[in-house]
Amino acid sequence: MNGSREVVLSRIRRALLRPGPGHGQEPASPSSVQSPPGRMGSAQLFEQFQEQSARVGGEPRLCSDIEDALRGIRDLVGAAGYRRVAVSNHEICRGHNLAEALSDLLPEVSVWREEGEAPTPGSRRRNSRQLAQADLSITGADFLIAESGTVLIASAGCSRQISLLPTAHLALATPDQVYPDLAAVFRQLGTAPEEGRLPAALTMITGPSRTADIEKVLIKGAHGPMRQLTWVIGGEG
Amino acid sequence: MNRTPGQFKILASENVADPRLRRTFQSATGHALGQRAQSVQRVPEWEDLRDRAHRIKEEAVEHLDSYLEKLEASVIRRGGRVFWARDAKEASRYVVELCRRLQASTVVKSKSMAAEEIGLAEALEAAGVEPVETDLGEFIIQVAGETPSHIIAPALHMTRQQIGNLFHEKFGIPYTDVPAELCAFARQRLRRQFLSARLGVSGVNFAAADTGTIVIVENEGNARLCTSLPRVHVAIMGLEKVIPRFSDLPLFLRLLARSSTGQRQTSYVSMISGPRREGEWDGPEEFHLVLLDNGRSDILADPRVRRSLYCIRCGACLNTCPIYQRVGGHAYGSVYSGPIGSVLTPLFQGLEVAKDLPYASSLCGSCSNICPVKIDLHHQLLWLREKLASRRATPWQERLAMSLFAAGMKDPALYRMGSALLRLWLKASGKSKRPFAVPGWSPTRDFPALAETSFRQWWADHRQQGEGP
Repeated sequence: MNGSREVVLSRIRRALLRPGPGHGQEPASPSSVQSPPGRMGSAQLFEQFQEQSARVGGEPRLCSDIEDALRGIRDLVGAAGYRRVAVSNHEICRGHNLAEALSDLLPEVSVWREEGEAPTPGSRRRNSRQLAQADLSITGADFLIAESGTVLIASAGCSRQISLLPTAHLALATPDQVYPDLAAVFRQLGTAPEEGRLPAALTMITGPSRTADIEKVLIKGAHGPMRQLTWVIGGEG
Repeated sequence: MNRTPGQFKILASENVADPRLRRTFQSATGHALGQRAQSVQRVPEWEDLRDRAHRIKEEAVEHLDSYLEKLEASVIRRGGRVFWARDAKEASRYVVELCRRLQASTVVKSKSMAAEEIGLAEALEAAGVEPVETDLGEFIIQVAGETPSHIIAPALHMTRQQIGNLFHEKFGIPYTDVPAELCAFARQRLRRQFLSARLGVSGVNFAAADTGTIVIVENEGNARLCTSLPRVHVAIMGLEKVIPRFSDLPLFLRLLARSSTGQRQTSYVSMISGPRREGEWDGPEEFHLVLLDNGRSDILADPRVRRSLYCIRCGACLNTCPIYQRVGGHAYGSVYSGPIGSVLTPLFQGLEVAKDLPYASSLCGSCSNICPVKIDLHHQLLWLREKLASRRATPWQERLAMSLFAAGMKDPALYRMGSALLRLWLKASGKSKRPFAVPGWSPTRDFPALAETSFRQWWADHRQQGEGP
């Protein structure tokens, strides 16, 4: 707080003494674009997600189970020649013991798991450097949005950098995480201020990082991942 | 940016005379408009969304004081700090002081119109801190020592060859004009800066008052890097960026991405509520929010232009503007270009110094039609012209012509006499194409051809013949 606070506020109050252009109109009703809930089954929602994600250069896929996903990761790593894989601490990865399973499955690849509890300044720096060198990161997703092919990740579940620094990012999700649109996600997340459940960072990821700043030519991988993969495990695939 | 009153006309005619630049802007704006049209078509409730967004912005702006106080309280509750800056100098000084305290020698910056507006990069340089622009377009023009030419695509005016030569000369890399290679070089170079910088600066697209959440919309990922790697994150926002509720965001996000690039959603949207929380792996230790007035409360004080504060900086009005399409962003001599720039710049910098900008419009209204928050841009331009005219800021010849015209239009007898005399004179002098030498007008325009008979005469004739209504 500082001296200019009162100056600015009193300027605003003085300015607002003059009635505005829409004076006397009803105040806006709380918005949030409503979509009828349950309009689509989860299979249809994932279909829409798949279509939208692919349209913006994402790589969505349905895996029948974790074994199928592991085989998929092995093929992906082999085909792209990835040498370093970073696995996040997100509960989906932890639940499947993903780091251990991948170490066994890919002996020639260095599999590194993001550190767990009680980070220190030193371990934070180490984390960033490791991630910056990783070819592929594997994280969980907290929500998927069908309308735009978007993956949402909350900072409470895994670090912000792991989905950002590596060359490719794979988000693993479950079928029940697909929602029709952002408003539906907000309702589920409980974003009302009094609930206080909003994480410090909520990141929406829609396809790979991109730029068109040079002659409007579309380039993938400006500052973030060049490939963005979203695999839903346990679907009726 | 300092400007001279006649600057727009000079720069505009220079740009119009450059065929390459004209082609660049015509094709880029045309492409953006096409993309936008395609994605808007798929939203049947689009007009309804615009109405709602307009109403919500109206609510926020008409109660700006209480929503800002609410925002401040929410940010503090989340462990962040809030700084109120009455002008550019105060805002820059705050960031410079932070750099001193952190002993930061570099600052990584993502794209921010507000930072641009306050000249933050210059202030940091003057204090011995290196500001590193990290958006690819901003990085290119920073290296080139130029200014942005479009809100969304700052380096729109440069060719790949120019950029290739620039990187070759400045960084000593082998010449290439392959966009992907140029981008890869910038990515690699900026990565090092991200990993070492202690302070990251970002702009703000929306700030939700009830949760204290700031939202940043981008495609490259540099804003995410700026807000998650450095120890301290400073977000700079114009006062008008506040929206009442977090639950308003889905609406605004739908409108913004579609209007600016035609995307359903940009690659990244970061919703940041305060610094990192206990036990989180990364994110800044400190989060600072700078609330920038810098002339906004003056705009608020004039109800006729108050709506210009609803702007969400999508750039659609630039793309659709027939003037912008031909002259490009630099001609406006300001951070804000196109129709919204022609409204904001005179209001920020003074009507007299930017008096040519309200005239940089054909008043076709395309800007008002495309605006996702329904700002009546062309009416605001007209109002600014009215203000200029009443301050006698227009040339005396124009004022004389206008008062003669006004007198004639108010009095039927005078009108009949005036038009009859004018017809006689135009026919007799034989100068029907360029009857008057008006500087800045007549050398490039022909006077409309004179009709055979006047309308009054035509009307009288046809009524007698019984063809009239």
